[in-house]
Amino acid sequence: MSLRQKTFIIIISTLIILILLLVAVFSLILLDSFGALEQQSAERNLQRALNALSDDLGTLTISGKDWAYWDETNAYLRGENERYAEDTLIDAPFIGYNLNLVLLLNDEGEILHSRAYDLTTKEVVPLPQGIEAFLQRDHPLMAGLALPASVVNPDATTGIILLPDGPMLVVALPVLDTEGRGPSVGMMIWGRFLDDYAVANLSELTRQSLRIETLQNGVLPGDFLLALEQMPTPESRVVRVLNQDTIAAYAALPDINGEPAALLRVDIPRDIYHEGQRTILYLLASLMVAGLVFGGVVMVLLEGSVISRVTRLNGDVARIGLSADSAEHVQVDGEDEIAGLSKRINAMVDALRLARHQSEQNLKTRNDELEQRVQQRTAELTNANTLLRAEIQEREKAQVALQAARDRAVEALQFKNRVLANISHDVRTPLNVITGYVEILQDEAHGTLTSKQNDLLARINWNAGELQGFINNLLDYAQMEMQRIVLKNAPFTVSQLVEEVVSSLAAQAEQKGLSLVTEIDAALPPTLVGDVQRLKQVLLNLVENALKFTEQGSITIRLHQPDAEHWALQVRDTGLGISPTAQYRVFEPFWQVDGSATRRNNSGVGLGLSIVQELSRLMQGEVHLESEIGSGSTFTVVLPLLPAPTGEVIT
Amino acid sequence: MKRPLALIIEDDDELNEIFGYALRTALYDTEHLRDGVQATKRLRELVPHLIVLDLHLPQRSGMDLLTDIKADPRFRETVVLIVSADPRMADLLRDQVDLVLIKPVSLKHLSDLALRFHARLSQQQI
Repeated sequence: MSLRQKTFIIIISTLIILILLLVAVFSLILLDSFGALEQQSAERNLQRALNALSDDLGTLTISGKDWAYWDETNAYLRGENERYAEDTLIDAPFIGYNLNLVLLLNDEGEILHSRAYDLTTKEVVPLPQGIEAFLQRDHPLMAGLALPASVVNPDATTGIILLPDGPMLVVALPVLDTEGRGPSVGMMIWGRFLDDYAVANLSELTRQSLRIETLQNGVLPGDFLLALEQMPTPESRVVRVLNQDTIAAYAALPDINGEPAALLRVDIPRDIYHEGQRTILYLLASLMVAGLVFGGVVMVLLEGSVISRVTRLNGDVARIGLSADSAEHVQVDGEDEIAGLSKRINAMVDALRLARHQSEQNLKTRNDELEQRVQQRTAELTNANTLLRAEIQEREKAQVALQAARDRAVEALQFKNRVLANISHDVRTPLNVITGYVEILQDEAHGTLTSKQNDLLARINWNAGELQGFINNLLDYAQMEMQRIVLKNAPFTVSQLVEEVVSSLAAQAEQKGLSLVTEIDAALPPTLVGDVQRLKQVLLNLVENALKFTEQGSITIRLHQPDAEHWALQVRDTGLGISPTAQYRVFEPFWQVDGSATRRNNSGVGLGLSIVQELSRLMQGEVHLESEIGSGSTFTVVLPLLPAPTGEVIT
Repeated sequence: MKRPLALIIEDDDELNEIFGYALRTALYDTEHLRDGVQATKRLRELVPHLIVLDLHLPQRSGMDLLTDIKADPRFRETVVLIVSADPRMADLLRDQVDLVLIKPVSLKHLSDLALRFHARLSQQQI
C-alpha cells in the first residue's frame, strides 16, 4: 500500500470516527431537549383542552342560570304556568346549547318535565338509562332541591356523571326567582353527552385532536390503559409517544363525586421532535461536508509537502538504480528532513558510484586478462585440435592401410595354404608312384638285383621318405599358422608313445650307426592325458632333428617329471651343437644351420622345430634348448601334467 | 578256390597299376577303374571283396561313391580302403571306413593289410 493510500485512509477513518462521535453526542443531547420540549408542549395542549372543557361547562352554567332564574320556569314548577313546557321547552334550546337532556323537577324531587334529544339526528329520544340513580334527594346533584329563601345566587352543581350510554356533562341548578333568590321551587338539570359529537365540537373549538374514553365499561383501548396505569394520582398528567408522528397527553376527567370518570387524550403531531431529527440530519450533513473539505485540504497539504516529495524521492532512487548516467541525482528542495534525506541519498549514491566504477574497472581488467587467457588457450587448443585431427586422420589412414595389409596378408596366407594343399596332393601321387616302383623293383619281381642296385633303390626310398616328411610338416605348419589344429585329449600310455617313435626311427639310426636310448623316470605316471598323435609328432620331429645333426654317438629320449605339475619330453644328442646366436633362431620356420659341411646331410628346410614349438604352445607347454658347439644339444618340452583316470587307457 | 576280387578305383594309371600289383601279391583278382562314373556302373554289376578308393576322381568324386557304397546293403561285407593325398580329409573319414591310407602308401604295407583281410574273408567263407 502506498504512502498516499495510507494517509488517505488515516484521514478518512479519523473523520468518520469524529463525525460518528459528534452525531452520537448531538443525538443524545438534542433529541433529549426536543423530547422535553415536546412533552411540555403536549402538557400545555392538554391543559388547554381541559380549560376548554371547563370553559364550556362555565358557559353552559351561565346559560342554565338564565333559564333557572326565570319567572316563567319558576311559575311552571309551582304549577302556575301550564303552557310553559309546550311553548318553551322545544327543540331550539337543545340545539342552541347542544343539550341532550333537560329535566325539571319540583321541590319534592318529582320530575315535571323531561326531554331527551339526539343532536345528530335532531330527534327526541327516550331518557337515557340510569339517570334515575342521580335524581335521588340525597344525591349531591340534587343539592339545590330545597334551598331556603335566604339563598342568593347559589353555585350550580356541575360535573360529569357516568351513564350506561357514556359520560355526561351535567349542570344542576335550583330554580329561583329572576334575581336568583330563594327559596328554590325545584331543580333544573341540563345534560350533555360527552360523545363523538361533543368531542368533535370541542376539538373544533380547541383546534386539537381530542378523544374521550369512559372508564365505566372497563374496556379501554391499549394506550389509554397504559396511560391510566402510569398515573400516580387522578390529577396527574401523562404524556406518551403514540407513534412516529404523534404524541399523546392524557388526563383523567373526574365525575361529580371527584372519582375518575373518563380519560381525555390530546393528540399532538411530533413536529418539534421531527424538527430535532432534521436538525441532527443537517448537522450530520454539514459535518460530513466540513469533514470532507477538511480531509481534502489536509490531503492536499500533505501531498504537497510530504507525500509527493517522498514519492518523487522514491522514483528518483529507483531511476538512479536503473540508470547508467553517473550525473543523475535525487532532487533536493527545502531544508526539512526529506531534503536532508535526499542529500544523504545523493552522498550515498556518489559513494556507491565511485565504488562501482572502481570495481567495474577492476572487473574489466580481470575480464580482459581472462579473455586474453581464454583466447590464448583457445588458440592452443585449436592448434592441438588441428594436430590431433591430422594425427587421427593419419592413424585412420594407417588403420585402413593396416587393415588392407592384414587382409592382403590373410588372403596371401590362405592362398599359400591352398597352394600348399594342392602341392601336397600333387606331390604325393607321383611320390607314391616312385616309392611303388622302387618297392616293386626291391621285390625282385623283375629280376634279381645287385647289391649296388639295392643300395641305390634304398637311397631313392630314403629321399622319398624325406620328401614325404617335408610335405607332412609343410601342411602341419600351414594348419598351425591358420590355427586350425584342435587337440584331441585322451588318456595314453607313456611307454607306448616312446616305443612307437623309436620303432619308426630305429632303422634310420641304425643306418647312421647311432644308438637310440630311452629313459622313462619311474616317478612318472604310466598313463597321462594328452593328444597322443601330436605328442608323437613332437617327439618324432625332435628325434629326426637329432638324427640329422648327429654323426656319431647317441640320441637319448628321456621322459621325466621336473615338478609336481609338469612332465617333460627330453631329446639329447651328441651332435654338432648349436651356437648361442643360432639358438635364438632354430625355432624359426625355414631356418637351418648354415654351412657347406652340414649341407649335404641336412636336406630339406627346417620346419620340424617350428612345429615342435607351435604344438608345445598349443598344449600349454614350452620348449627349452641347451646346447654348446661340439658337445651336442638338449631339447626339453615341458608340459602340464594331466594324470589319467584309472582304467581308461586307449592304446 | 576262387580268388577274392579287389576293385581298385584310382585315376592315376601308374598308381592304379602299383596298387594292383600289391593286391595281386596278396592273392586278389584285381579290376581297375579310372573314374567315378565308370566305377558307379561297375558297382551295380558286382560286389567286390575289397575296394581301394581314391577320393580325388574325375567325373564323380570318391566321396559320392563312398556314400553310395555305405548306403547299399550289398556291400555290407565289402572291405573299403580309402587312399587319399589329403591328410585332413583322411582324418575326417577315419571312422567311416575300414582303413584310411595317406599317400604315399607303402606297397608292402598295403599288401600286408590286404592279406590280413584275405584271411578274414577265408575264415568267413569257411
